[in-house]
Amino acid sequence: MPISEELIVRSELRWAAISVGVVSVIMVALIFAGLVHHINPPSNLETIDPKTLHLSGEFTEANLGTQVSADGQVTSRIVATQFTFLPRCIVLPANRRVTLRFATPDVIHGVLVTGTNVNTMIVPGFVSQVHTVFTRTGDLLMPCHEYCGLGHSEMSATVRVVAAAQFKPDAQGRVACDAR
Amino acid sequence: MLGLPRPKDEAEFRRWRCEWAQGPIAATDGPLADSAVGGHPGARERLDNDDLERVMQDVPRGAFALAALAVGALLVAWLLIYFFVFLPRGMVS
Repeated sequence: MPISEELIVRSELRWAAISVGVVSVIMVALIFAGLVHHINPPSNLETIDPKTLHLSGEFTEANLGTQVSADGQVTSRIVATQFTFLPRCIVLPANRRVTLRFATPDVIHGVLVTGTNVNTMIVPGFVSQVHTVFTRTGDLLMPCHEYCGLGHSEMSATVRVVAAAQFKPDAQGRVACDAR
Repeated sequence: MLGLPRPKDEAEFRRWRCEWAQGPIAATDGPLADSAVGGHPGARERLDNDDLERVMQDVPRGAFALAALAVGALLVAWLLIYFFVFLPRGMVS
């Protein structure tokens, strides 16, 4: 059969249908993840003054680390600064919804927790917040993944995920790495 | 060069190319390079319309096979990572 314009048009339409099909499959998968598994990009438009971060408010030194509130909500507050995380180790319970809150007084940092979907930027002037549920116990590496200066490669922390029985808050509801 | 027949002049080269390509060719401004005149081993071979149609008919089929393979491999890789890496890592919001 000789090649003709009609044949070419039919081939292009067929290929366009395949392309629409591929995009549709990916879109359905993303909507499925968002609605059924509650997987969404972390978004939290909450401002904070980076100049007074360490002086007042929730990111002062006494408030950093993991804390269990009266209603049972587990929140961990972490400051990312050149070139370390404060604190460098946090304890969190497995199979329980936890909230990670990050802030920085200096430059843009990024954070991810290996083996999980936790991944966010930390921008001066904003509080980055991630809700997640850790399903595996163990020490997970949490490196800075946004180049922040000469010491960037040394900037990492540990997320210690423990079983519910080992997660024991003190009288103030605080849990630290050395108190397992 | 390589014992291949060479056109006597530019006019003969153009005639050969017209026969080979089964169509007119655009005029060139300057003289043709020596390699362009005598370098093509099949310059004197003639392709009739049936040969051309057969070759042209296979072109889209091969292109589709290649494109489908490339896009299919990408889609399969995406789905594998989605189902076996992304979803088991759990919720995040």
